[in-house]
Amino acid sequence: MKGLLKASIAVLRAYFTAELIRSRGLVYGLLSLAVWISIFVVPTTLFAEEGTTEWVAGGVLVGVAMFLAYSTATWDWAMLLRWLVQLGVLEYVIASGSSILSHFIGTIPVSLAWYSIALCLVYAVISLFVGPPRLELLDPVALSIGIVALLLVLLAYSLLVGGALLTSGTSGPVVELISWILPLATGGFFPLRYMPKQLQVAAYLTPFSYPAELIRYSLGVSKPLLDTWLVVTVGLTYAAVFLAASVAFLRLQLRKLLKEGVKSVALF
Amino acid sequence: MRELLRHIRAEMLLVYAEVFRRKSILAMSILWPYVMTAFMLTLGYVAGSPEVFLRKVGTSPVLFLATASYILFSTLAVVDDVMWRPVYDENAGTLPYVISSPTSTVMRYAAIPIPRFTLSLVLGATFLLPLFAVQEGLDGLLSAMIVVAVSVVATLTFIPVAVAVGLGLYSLGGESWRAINVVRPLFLVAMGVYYPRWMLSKIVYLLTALLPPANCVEIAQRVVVKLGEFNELLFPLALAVVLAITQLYPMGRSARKWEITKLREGVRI
Repeated sequence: MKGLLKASIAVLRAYFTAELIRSRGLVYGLLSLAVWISIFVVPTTLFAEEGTTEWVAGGVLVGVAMFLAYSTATWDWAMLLRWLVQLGVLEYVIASGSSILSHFIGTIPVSLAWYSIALCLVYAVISLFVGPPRLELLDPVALSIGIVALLLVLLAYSLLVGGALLTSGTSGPVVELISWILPLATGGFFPLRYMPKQLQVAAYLTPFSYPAELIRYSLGVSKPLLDTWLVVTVGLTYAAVFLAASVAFLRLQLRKLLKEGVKSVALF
Repeated sequence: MRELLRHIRAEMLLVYAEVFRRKSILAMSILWPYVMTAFMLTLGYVAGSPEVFLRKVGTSPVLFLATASYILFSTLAVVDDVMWRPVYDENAGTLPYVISSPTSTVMRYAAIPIPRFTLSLVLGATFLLPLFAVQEGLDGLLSAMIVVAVSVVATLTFIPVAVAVGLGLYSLGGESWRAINVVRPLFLVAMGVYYPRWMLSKIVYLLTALLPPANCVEIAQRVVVKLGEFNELLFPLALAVVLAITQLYPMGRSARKWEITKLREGVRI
């Protein structure tokens, strides 16, 4: 455990220095995000009636915040393993006896800080192009549980995707597609209430929908379809089981990798 | 011309071998415009209703956003392939071989986006044609075919400016994907893919019209909304072609500068 913590701090330092300071990743990342968000947000004004902008902006802000969280898990955490393969670092990590988990743990603080700054930027972009978002804090407890469950689910998801990338080769476009479909299909981006019944059932079968529904309810955007405390109980349990299963999956993939060797990097 | 064709053949072999070997990429390419359209529609429906969109823009959001997503995919093929290739070459360790080969950098970079662009034509058949046919019948089919044809011009006229900016940036700051990640969406903003170009302010409209594919985007949007006569659509098309021809010179300059920069700095490990 002590070794894992030491390795995680080393990763954090290296990541912070190399990615954020030396490569100016924070500045470039935020600039890129602001432009992308404006591409997606501006057309929403074509759908909105005059005078409804406050609530529209609030709903869009929560939707984008959820999408951003999924993106962070995909590109910062899951694709981290692809980067390690691409840079030829993974073999050294394995040979050194250090756990791959240290890379995840070391990256999380930077990702969380980046996410917080990015959220402020998204708020500014939405305020500029649509109007100041309006949100009401209805239930702080549900919000806290929703955020914890979301973190667990996203960590589990990133371990699952990262593990799959390790043994199936590396494919950026496939991961990109997953990162778009997932928040759309599981209610991350859009309240389940407004989805077709079949999609609602499909979304509730995944662990992703519960935290999203809780966060939306607690901020006064929309009510969950199920009873709030049922969503809390099932959401937390499902998130914990999902995380345990993902850790087991990643271990299995690493064992497979040790037998078969590291896959080569693809063109895309 | 023969050299360009040789480059295109080589790029075709490289990219299609990858696409057919990893069918997941092919499946992803076919699904991508559907996903983007669904994403934009979802965002729109969260914000309001399709009736408001119809009133403001003059057509159904499904067709408008589907066209936008298709054009986005076709043109992104150019930006991504041209701008990311130096990064891939450096990561794979092939950059020194590329630089030391006697072939023309300009020709090579003109050929790089062609394979993925031809893939986007397949998408026209799997995405745009059926969608327009279902929504608007035979008239829709014709509109979709015009949009696909316009996307060919959009993509080809995008190559000079993409190479000029991409390799120009690399000459200045090395193979940094971070700067490209900012430039990439900026191009999309300038093209105005998801927003009716005629609704932009005059200054923004004029400034962005300097980007050749932006004029093609406008034609596609006007075709979908059925706005303007055939003759009126020819002007932006001609403008896109003329602008692309004028941008061939900076394209050549950037490519040469990048090549010289690489030769000067040598192999970096």
